[in-house]
Amino acid sequence: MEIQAVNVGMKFKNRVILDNQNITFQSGKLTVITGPSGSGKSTLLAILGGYMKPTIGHVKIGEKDITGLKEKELALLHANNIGYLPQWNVMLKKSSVLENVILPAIINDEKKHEGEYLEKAIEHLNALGIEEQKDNYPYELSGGELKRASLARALIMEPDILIADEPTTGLDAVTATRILEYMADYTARGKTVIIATHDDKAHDYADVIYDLAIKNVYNA
Amino acid sequence: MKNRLAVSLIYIIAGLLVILIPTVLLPVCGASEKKMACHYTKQAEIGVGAIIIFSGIAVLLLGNELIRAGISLYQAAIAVLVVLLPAKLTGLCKMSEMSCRAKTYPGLIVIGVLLFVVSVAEFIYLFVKNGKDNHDKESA
Amino acid sequence: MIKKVLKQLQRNKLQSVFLFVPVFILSAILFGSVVIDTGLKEGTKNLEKRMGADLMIVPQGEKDLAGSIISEGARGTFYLERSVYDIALKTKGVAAATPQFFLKSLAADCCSSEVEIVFYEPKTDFIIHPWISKEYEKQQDKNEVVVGSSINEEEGGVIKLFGRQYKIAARMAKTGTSLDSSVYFTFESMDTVINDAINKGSFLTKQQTKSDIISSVFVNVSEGYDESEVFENIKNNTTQKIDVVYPKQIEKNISVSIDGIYSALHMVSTVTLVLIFVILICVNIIIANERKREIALFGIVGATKKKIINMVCLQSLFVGAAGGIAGGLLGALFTIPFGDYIGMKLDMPYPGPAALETVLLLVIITVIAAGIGFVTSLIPVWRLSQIAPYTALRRDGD
Repeated sequence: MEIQAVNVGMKFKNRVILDNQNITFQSGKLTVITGPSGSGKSTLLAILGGYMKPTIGHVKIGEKDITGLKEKELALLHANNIGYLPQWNVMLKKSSVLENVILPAIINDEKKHEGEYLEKAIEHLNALGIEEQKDNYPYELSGGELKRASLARALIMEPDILIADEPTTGLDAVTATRILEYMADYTARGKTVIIATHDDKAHDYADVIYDLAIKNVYNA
Repeated sequence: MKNRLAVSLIYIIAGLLVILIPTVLLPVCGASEKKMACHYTKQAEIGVGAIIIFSGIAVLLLGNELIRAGISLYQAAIAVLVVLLPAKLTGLCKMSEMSCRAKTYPGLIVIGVLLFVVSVAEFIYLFVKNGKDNHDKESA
Repeated sequence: MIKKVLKQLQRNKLQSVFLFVPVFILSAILFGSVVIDTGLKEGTKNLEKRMGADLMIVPQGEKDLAGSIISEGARGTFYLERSVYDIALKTKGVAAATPQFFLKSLAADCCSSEVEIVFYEPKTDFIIHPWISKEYEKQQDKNEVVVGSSINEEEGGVIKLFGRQYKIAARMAKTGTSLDSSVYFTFESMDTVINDAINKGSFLTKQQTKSDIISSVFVNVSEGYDESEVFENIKNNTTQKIDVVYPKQIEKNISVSIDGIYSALHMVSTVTLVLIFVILICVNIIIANERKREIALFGIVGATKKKIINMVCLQSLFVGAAGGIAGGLLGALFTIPFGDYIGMKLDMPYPGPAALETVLLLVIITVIAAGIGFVTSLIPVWRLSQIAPYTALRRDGD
């Protein structure tokens, strides 16, 4: 599914947080957004995912303008079409890793297909190399393991669009590579994947690189 | 263990109160030449209080949950007795201004009701827990 | 598993405990103060009914004792010649008058408690009759009595006094004073009762055994006449040394002191109410920050606000209701059985609440408590709805 930022910008008390951006992200492409700290990478991602409203411009997903969407429709979009991997590892403290991974299915009341989602969750955890951690609690996991669990959670509903904010920051090279490879594999299934990072390693997996500061698109 | 200790302590305190309320804390009027109904109620409550304390000690010493559930079930019946003695069985003086009616009886009602609630809750808790444990064992 | 996790999400132990305890205390206090409040109000109303007389004529020097008869319903033993009553009847400005005779503190056979015996005149009475709640006999003869609400009858609707059985002709409503523990005879029974008392070994003073004596005359003044003037007229016509008590004046004083208790009660309950509400809000704000990221996560994975409220606040609704019921019951457990004692301590007429009132109050308090639980738990959700889920996800300081 194509996602398009149309003249999107963000201002807060006269301070420009995100300069106006025009960019289209295509299906089957992994786009890496780069730029110095404070150039508004995270803000752009939040706006693209509909987690924040831009002060000007709008976002289109497919043919739909999501900026003016009603709460219910937006929630539906978040549940089924968008996977978001936040910069911070946020997990339910009192639930196991496996339970955390299927949280989107829980929120969407998918009781009927519980088995399928559990199977899928274990598949993801297995592929990401943390299957043996599935019954542990979040506090028992390392930062890299938590990040991989969060990725599994973002992918559990098989969203058309995956948005990842600094997915490799603070991780060792092996784990970072594993996460990037997994996202590249996901892109190969015809999905739209957007990563904001200043980790150069990500460039090796990118189909498109977008420099936010100079508003330039490179095809890798 | 925490539950066992707490419940045992509650039972022992309740038992002590059942003894102390008619004698010291909210006493019935002193027995003059003529022994009134409240006097016999007081004597009976001393005995009942002793049984309640005894049950409390038993709960503390016995580990088996089903036995403890049984004790709590009987404790509930005894709690009813705490109130029933002044209300019906041995009775009280007939005037509402008398000490036994104005003070002792309400005090016993409060203890009796609280003891009843705790015992029934404890019985249900232990009974349900026991059933669940067994179920878990069977299914394991 | 989904069901289990959903349950887990709804149950936040910390939040429940911090909600239950304050709501529990609040409900207990609220219930207790409302019960005592309405009890006292009802008592004052009764008082007005009891003060059915403008003047109460008593022997000279017994003014204070007579005053306490009115305010507390305690009985005194003081005596006048009956002629005072006859004179009062003839005095100008007297609309109605009725005599009473008090025999204080006699042991009854039912138990060795004291029963207060009052003799009255049914024909002219306007003091006792308004209180009668259950009438068994149209006319009370000399073998019958009217009893106060706390006198327990024996089987067959009788009561035994000094070895003789009397049929209960009527029973009075609860006044919350020692009127409740009185037995009312007509003057016709006076000789029999006093003889029985003497035969049973009760000590009676010479005055008490004299015939043609009374303790007091209750007088209602005709419209347009001054109360104290009417009393002066009676005083001037009799050779007896008499004094007067103005029941309505005393009633006013009681109302004033009850008002004092009211305002103290209201102040205490208002202060606790406000305090606990503030505590609840503070606790919920702390919990809001604690759960902020968790709740934001729900939003990120596609939960609507309604769903979030369902998950986060429904529990608080039930916990609040549970706290309300438990607190209300605890309040009831203390205030209702101890009602008589409270009345005695306050020296106030205090009839407890009716069963229906109690249940109604319990329901109201439960609803309020559930509402408080729900509303205060909305605070975290409301605060989050003010900021974007993305912002809420941030750890403070990031």
